[in-house]
Parts: sequence; C-alpha cells; structure tokens
Amino acid sequence: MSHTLSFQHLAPEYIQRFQAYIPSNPDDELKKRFGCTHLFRLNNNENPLGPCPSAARVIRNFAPCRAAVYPSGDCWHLRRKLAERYNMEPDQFLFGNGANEVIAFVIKAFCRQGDNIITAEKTFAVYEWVAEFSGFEARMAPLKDHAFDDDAMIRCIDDRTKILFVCNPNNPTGTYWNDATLRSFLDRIDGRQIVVVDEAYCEFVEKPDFPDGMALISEYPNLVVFRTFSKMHALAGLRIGYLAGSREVVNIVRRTCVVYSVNALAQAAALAVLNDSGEHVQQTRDLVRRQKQVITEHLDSLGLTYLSGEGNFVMIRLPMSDSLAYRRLMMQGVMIRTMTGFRFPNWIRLTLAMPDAMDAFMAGLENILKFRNPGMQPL
Amino acid sequence: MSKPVSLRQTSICVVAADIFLPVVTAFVEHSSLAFGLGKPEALKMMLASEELFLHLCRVVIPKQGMIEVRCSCKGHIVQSDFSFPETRINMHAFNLTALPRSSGTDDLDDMRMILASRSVDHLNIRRKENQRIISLIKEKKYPKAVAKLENPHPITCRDFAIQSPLPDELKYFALLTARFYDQDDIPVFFQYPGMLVDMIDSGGYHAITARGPAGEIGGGLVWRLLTDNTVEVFGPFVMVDDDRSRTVCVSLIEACISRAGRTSAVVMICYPPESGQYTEYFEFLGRMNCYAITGALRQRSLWFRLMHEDMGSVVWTTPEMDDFLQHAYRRLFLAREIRHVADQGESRNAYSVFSTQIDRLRRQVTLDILWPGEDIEDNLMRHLDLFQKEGIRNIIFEIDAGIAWKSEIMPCLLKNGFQPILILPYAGTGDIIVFQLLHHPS
Repeated sequence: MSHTLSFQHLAPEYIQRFQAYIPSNPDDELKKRFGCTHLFRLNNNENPLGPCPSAARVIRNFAPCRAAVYPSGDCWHLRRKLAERYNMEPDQFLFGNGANEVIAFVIKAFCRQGDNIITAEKTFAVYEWVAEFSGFEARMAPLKDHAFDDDAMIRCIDDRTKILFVCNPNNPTGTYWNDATLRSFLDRIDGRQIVVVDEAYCEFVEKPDFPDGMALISEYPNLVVFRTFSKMHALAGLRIGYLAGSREVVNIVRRTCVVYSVNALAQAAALAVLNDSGEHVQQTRDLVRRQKQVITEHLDSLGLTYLSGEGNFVMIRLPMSDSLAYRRLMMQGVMIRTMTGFRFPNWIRLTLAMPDAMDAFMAGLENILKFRNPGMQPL
Repeated sequence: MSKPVSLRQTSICVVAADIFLPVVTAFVEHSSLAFGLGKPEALKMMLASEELFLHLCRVVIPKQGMIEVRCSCKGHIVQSDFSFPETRINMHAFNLTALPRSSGTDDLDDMRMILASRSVDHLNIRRKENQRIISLIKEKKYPKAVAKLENPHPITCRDFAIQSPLPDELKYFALLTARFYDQDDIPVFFQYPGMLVDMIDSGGYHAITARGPAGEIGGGLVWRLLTDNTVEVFGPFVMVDDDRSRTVCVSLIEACISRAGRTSAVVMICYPPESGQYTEYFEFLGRMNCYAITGALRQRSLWFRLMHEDMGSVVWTTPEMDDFLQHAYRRLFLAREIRHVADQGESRNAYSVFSTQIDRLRRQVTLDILWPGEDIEDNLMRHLDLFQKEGIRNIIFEIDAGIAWKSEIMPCLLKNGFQPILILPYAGTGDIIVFQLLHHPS
C-alpha cells in the first residue's frame, strides 16, 4: 500500500467530472472472460465484407519500409482526388484519424469559453463528449418520432451557440432528413452558426430524397460535412475520416488540425477506395438489405419493437435490461451494442452482417427471451 | 438556484494541540449555525467536534501534526470533516474502538470517537488518497408533514410530461407519495417535504415527476450519486389509475436511466416499492435484513442495473466463499475470474484499521477494512461488542473484491456470525461483497 499523490486539483472542473469512455476489450480477452469459443462482433457497425478488392490489395502489398517514413501530413493525394470527384477545391477538405478527430477540430476552431453546441439528445455521443471535455456546453434537443427535430434544435439556439450537429442518417435510429428538410434548416440558420452534417452512414442510403451534403456546400458556406471510411468502406481499423466545407470555414478549422495524424497505409487504402468502381458498395447494400429483411421478419415473429431505418444496423427494444442482454448474448458468442449510453434504456443496436452471425444472434436472442428474469431467489 | 460553493463551505487548519480546542469548537459551532443548523443541533455538533479533536490530539496525530477542519452545508445536512495526512499517525487509534493510551479499561466513556458519534446523526471514518478523514454529520431539523390531502383517489389525467419539479411540486409529490404508499415503502425523508427540497437544491439528489397539463403530479422518482460510480434510486412512486400507471412508471425509470446514462455511473441500485415494475429494467440482487428502532425485522429487496457493457473483472476471495460467488455470478450472468488470495509471507502490521459509517437514524453501521493487521479478529470483536452496547443491530461489512488483500478478512467474518448476502457489481474498485451480521458471536 503506497501513498499516492493526487493530481485532481490540476484538472479543470469539466475534466474532473467527465467520465472516460472505456472501449471494449480485445476479442481474446472477452472470449476468455465470457467463456465463449467464438465471437461475432455486431456492435460497431463494421462492414463484414471487408474493404473493396483494390483497397485490400493495397493493404496486402504495403511495403514495410514505408512504415519508417512519415506519411503525407495533409493527405495531399486524397484531397485532390476528392476535389476532382465532387468538383471542389483540395483546400475544402481536411482529414483526421477517423471522423471522431475532425469533430474535435471543428469544436476547437469555433468555440470559446461560454459557448455552446447543439445536437440531439439521442444520437452519436461524441459531439456531446468532445464539447463537454473541452469545457463547452452541449445542448440536446429531444428527437421527434425518433428523428432530429429541426424546430427543437432551433429553439435551443442563443447568442453563444456556435455549431449545430446533425447526424444524417441518425445513428442509432436510422432516421434521416431529406433534401427539403435539410435545406429548410440551413435557410433558417441563415449562416449565423456552423451546421455540421455527419454523413458517416450516407453510402448505405438508397432513398432518392436523401440529400447530398457535398452538393450543398456551394450554396451554404456555413455547412460542414463529415464522411468516414470506417463504415461502408471497411477501413475502421486504419482510422481515417474527413470533413468538407467552404474554403473560408475549412481555412479556420485547419488551424486546429493535427497534421500527420493519418497514417500512410490508411491514406493508400482510402485512395484505392475512391478509385474503386462502386461494385463493393453495391454488394454491401445488397447484403444489408437482405439481412435487414431476415432480421425484421424474425423480430416481427417474436413480437419485438424495433427501428429499422437507413444504415447497416437495427435497433431493438427488449423486455429486459440491455446490459443484461449484452452479458447473456456475450456468453453465447454474440456482441451487440447496449443503448443506455445513447439514452435508449433496454434497446440494443445490432450490426447487419453475414448470415452465420445473424443466425447466431437470432438463436441467442430466442434463448434469452425464453428465460427473461434470472429469478428472485436470494443468493 | 444552487448557492455558490464558497457560501457552502468554511475551513481552518490548526496544529493538533489542546490549546486550539476552543478555536475548533467555536469554528464548528458558528459554521453549523451559519449553515442553518438549529441551536441545539449546532451545540451537539460542537460537542462532537470537541471529543473528536481531543482524541485526534492526544491519541492519533503526532506532535506538530496538522488537522484541517472543513465545515460544509449539503442541503439538509451540515458536515464537519477532520482530515490529516496518514503519515506517522497512530494507525490503531483510527479505529472507532480505540482507547487512549493511558486507559486500561474498556469503559465507553474513554472512547472519544464513540462519544462524538452519539451527538451526531452520522459518523464516517474513511481514507481518501493519502488523507484520513473523519466526518461528523448532523441533519437539520425539519417539521414532519402534517397536511392531509383531500383527494385520496388515484389521478386520472391522460397525458404527462417528465420534468424536474419546482419546490412546491416536490413537496406536493412527497405528500402524495405518503398518501398512496405504506410508510415502510418510502424513504424516511419523504415524510419531511422541506428536507426533500433542500436535498434536491444541494445538487446531491435529483428528482423528476410526471406532470399533467393542469399541474397534476402522477408520479415521481428521486436518485443520487451514492459513490463515484453508483447511482441509488428511490422509487418510482406512481399515483395514477391502473391503465396509465405502467406508462408513467416506465417513463420515470427511462428518464432517470437516460439522465444517468452519460454520467460516471457504472451501476444503478434501487429499492423498489413494488417489484413487478422493475423486472424489465433492473435485475434482482438480493434481500437485506433491516431492524427498525422498535426491533421489528423487515426485509429490503435490492435491484440493480449496469449502465455500461460488462467487460468482466477479477474477484479476489478465499475458498470459503467459492460456492456463494459461483452461484451468484452464474445467476447474474456476470463474467468474473475468481482468484484466491494466498499468504505470500508478507510481514503484517500489528494493528488492523476499520472504516466505520454509523447511521444513528437507521441504527445501522457499515464497516470496511482500511488496513490489515494481526489483531483483525480481536478488532472485529471489539467493534461488534461496541455496537451491541450502543444498540445498533444492522451491521454490514462491505468488502471490495477488486482489492486482493481486503479479502483476507472473509473467513474471519464467516466465523463470527456474518453471512454474504449480496454482491454490488462494480460498486468499488471491483465488485463489493456485502456481508451482514446475522448472529452476534457472543
């Protein structure tokens, strides 16, 4: 028992009260602890098909000697490729170590003490977390019919509001704003605040009225669009994402951007993705569509409530604690995401994946529903 | 509106010497009065501080050692913390049962800490980082609710919004709860609406109610952060008619979980007034015996819910506990690696040290081990004898099974009338195993 020094007083109050996010343990450790021989990870909305063939080839052929050399500090080739694809300028793009990093770039660029950001109460938590551990207020508007509520968000605005974050389609509910709704929202904001539209799951959406954020940037210079290579493009393990916006806005955000944070392999694989024919995207969409149908039919037969919108995931409401369901499914080798942290108690989010994983989930779910309450016998 | 911190706290720092006794007692008394304790309660706090300060000067802290005395107002309570670095202190004297060096008796009048405990509602002895802290806590006196509600019928309103209640709504909710539930099913503080308002105002407790369009209160729920990672929930209490009661109940529980969902809370524990409402959201942990002041025995059910995904953890224990733990973890579906502590030949301190939380109002004491020692069984017996003489029947021993050396006391507890009754997952460094004294060894 040694004496310990306390450094708590050195940390700002907003850091002292913030709880660190604890990511899940590696598979080998989890399998040992939960006593399972296999593990289907259906918790992070990863693409089970893996990267497209050209990106896979780049990864396989990556020369070890390149690991000794710094990568392009600002993802030079990628920004040029994107500019060409979207008919924009390379200076309108900024890359980060996953889209999570670019969230921090934007908040740091525009907020100072006393400012606030606005997002939804039940959405991807990182906007709220980054604001709070940076010392800024995160205001949360409730969802309306499980979708972002434009009126509620606008009601939250005051003269210290700097950024509004819209997750489109929303993780985890799968709802989306169509082109008309997004345009109407941007018109009402009228350039007074930065509007971030996070399109992490946009490649999964096949609805014709889904807006193309990139195309709106020229009309709305306060619009910032986030994209990632982690979901559809299956480069989650390499950590690469980016933002796009008007030159003026990106020029400000660039000042907070950590250069060299995207590694050489990630840049090379992402470039291969951008050069891909699109067949991989179509195959993934087909898989997601098929598995969504299988799962929702099964959920209907079990009489469970679910939300099955856009994206490669389904949200399911269970008649038990989501954390209990997590433990019981883990013991059967299936890992899902609990939704208490998303403020959806007793809901779980399931990644749509290959048929064997879906079968394992459905069997596991039936098992835990057969015996919902572990009993009230004293220990 | 919460008061700024500076208006809720005072502190002084003095050398541990008798000469400063009047300074300390005057400081504690006047701070207590300033924070809203009545004159009789402030006097009792002062008397307790006198006993404690003398004990610290004469027995615990070496010459020239410093003591910081901090008084604070936490809504319904005033707390005086006496803290000092743990280096060079007389470890043995940190026990509640410690006698002055000159005394050869076990006369309770020589035990200044127990004397101090008699004048206050709660006394806590604990260790925080490299500090030892003894806290004296006195509750403010509040009038018991005497108002009678005219309408005893369940409320029939159809639409409710979950909201944080205004003070008058909170008081009305407390009165309603007393009207619709047995006294044994509601927290004691609901009988004192003014106290409930101060508890919420302090920021230490939180409340939500289901409010109808015309201001009707259809139900409510109160919670607090019990420790850094544990939320304690009281309720939900629902006063609407049958077909809407489930909706209100679910809305209250979901709002509470959602609000605590992105805090430091890892686990939520609760004491349900009606167990049927809980099975969807919480898991049954076990039951605890509670002796009322009258001596009547009642069993309290405890339920829990993990707020995060379980990563699994290590549980340190001794072989005697294997059956209990394996059964418990299997029933709760918690992934745990059970490891046995073994004597690895370390030299031990002569004296063990227990932390003690005395709750005079509930006649309850909660023990924990702060320091292992050769005299652990004798020390335990001294504490049990003391509590018996003090008329305290609810005796709990909590072991943090995430800390290996703490488990060494388990066989001693089992041998002396304690039984493990439940596990609080992640409530400490690891899980906390709760033992209750079922039979006094004497």
